Amino acid sequence: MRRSPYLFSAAITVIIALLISASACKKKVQPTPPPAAVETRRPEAPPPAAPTISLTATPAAIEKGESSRLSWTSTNATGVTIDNGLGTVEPSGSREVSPSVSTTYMARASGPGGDAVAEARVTVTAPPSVTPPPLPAISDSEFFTSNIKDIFFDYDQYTIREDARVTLMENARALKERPGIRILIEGHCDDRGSEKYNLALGDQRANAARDFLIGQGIEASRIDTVSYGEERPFCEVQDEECWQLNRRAHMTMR
Amino acid sequence: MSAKIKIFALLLVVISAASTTLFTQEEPPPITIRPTPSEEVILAVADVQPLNAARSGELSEAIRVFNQVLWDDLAFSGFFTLAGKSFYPPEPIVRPEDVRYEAWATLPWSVSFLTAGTLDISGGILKAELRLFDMKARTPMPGLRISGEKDQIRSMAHRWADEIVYRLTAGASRGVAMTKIAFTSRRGNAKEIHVMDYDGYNSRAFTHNNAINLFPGWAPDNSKLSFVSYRTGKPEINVYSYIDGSRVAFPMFNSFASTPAISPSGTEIAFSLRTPRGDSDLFVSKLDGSGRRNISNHPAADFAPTWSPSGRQIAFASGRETRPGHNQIYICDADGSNVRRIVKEGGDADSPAWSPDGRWIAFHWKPYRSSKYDIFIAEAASGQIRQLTSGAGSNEVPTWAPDGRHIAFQSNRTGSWQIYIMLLDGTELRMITRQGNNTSPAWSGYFRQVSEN
Repeated sequence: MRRSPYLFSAAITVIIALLISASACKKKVQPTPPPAAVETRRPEAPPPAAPTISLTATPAAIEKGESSRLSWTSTNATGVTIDNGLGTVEPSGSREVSPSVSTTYMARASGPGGDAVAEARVTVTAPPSVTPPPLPAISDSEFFTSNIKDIFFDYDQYTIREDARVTLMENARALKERPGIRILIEGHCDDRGSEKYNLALGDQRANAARDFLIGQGIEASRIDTVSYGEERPFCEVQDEECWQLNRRAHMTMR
Repeated sequence: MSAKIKIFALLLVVISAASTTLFTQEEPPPITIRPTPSEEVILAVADVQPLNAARSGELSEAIRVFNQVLWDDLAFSGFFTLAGKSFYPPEPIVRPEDVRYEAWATLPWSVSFLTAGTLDISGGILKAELRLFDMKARTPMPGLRISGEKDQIRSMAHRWADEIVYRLTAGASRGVAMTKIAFTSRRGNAKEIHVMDYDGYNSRAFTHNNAINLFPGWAPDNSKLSFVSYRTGKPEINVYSYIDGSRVAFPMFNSFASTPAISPSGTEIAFSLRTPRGDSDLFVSKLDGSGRRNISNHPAADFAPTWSPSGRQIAFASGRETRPGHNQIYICDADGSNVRRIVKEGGDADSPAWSPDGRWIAFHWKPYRSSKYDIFIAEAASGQIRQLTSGAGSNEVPTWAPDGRHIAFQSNRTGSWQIYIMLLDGTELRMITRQGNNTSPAWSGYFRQVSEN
């Protein structure tokens, strides 16, 4: 609320900019027919109306790490795009943005009647006075231990369960954060099947986890697999709790 | 356990009603292991004696071992009814003329043959002079002299036992007392390949790589052992000379390779290998890995190949038709054609092993959801099956002795995994390992005879 004057002035700026740019574009792309001709035009072929767009950022100034809401409204547009990574968006809407440096966002509305653009700037200031001490850099192996988790499988299955999908997506996100980390996925089984089959099943489990991570954008060259079948159990009690612990793809750092 | 047998029997009836090609209502095919009563051979096994009474003290332990091993080997062969020693005439038999036929004729049974002999030691070398007597004809038969180092006393007894089997079956069978069994033994995180005598003695580590080693198998002439080893970090096919322990070159795939089986000709090897599709298929290559070809090419996991004795067919396990995680046994020609399933039951089957005479395929099987397997044999031609094990624990990974009359398998019936041997009819069952956990038995072929003169 403290920053409402900024909002006001930004809105004024945007509207002025919008009017100028909208008319400029209109001239460039679609010459206006002479007024006299309008009356003689047949009603089924009116000139395409020029698109309009407005874009605001609220608040217009943030501290680093905070976010601002971009809001836009367009008319007569068949497509609206916003740069700086937002891409194609709906005709009117809003998005939270959290730029790390001051950024000018440009929205472009396109339609049969031409293009219109509007800009809004989000000013990013450094955090206030007391800067927190820099986080201690954690090693790859510490990072791995706290961020990369094992996944578990159903009896005699190598399909990725819903809980495992969530885990693997988080693993993928963490692996993208640390592109230097390479992983070895170990496939493990409970000991109820026979040893020969379990070795093959463990391989299929490790491969299923690998394929999923590759699907999440992790380079295949960063992931290796090995099956241990039932040879390296995590738990050696004969009950379902223990069997479940042994049906897993275990993530290790290479 | 009997409930399980009933369940299986019921399955058989249900399946045979639905399918007339396999599992007819007939009785399972007979297996003849024991002689029929009319063919019964009663064998007396007289203790070997010190040749020179002056050295009886020095020889007492060797004599005790020899007599025990000979008795156990002959009993295990299944060819003979052994006459209990307490009924024998008391006179020791040192020379052929010490056999008093009329005294032996008073035993409760009509003894067919008698073995006896002497043991001596000179210069640290044991010398056995062994004799066989035809008690019906009341005449000695040709004997055998065997010599060996002191620590070879068991081997000397095995040698004589095999000789008796060979002679008294008129060469129809060779004894298995000189054969070996390879297996895996867990030691902490490592699992090494070991090789022991068929009766569990003289166990020695064959691998010393401190890694996981799995699924040993013999070349048919016992010259090589194939197995899976993690010594390089991934499961890879390894082939080693059993003669000098050297590695036989075979490609490393750095992916997933498992369950190798050397062909009866000794020139090819079948194994399971991951394909780009992500599952494992069966491949056959030369023993050096060249000429590799995919013979199964199926999106289900195919593994555990076993060659027919002719080398023309391969049996293997695959989950291609059953519900996920459950496998069945299939047979195909060695080029992968003519695939057919041999057991129509559901459940889970694995570890096929083709019998030396080509008639049977042994495997382990369990019903859905059960955690306990038992050993079965299926007749390759008809698909008819017989159950070989029952009772407590899971019984898995059958392997045939080269005589086709015995199998070894692993069981956790005592609470730990140990290796057992028995005659095909379930008799003469023996637990031959005791320490730690021991799995994946692989019975060798016959070895050439040693120390004969």
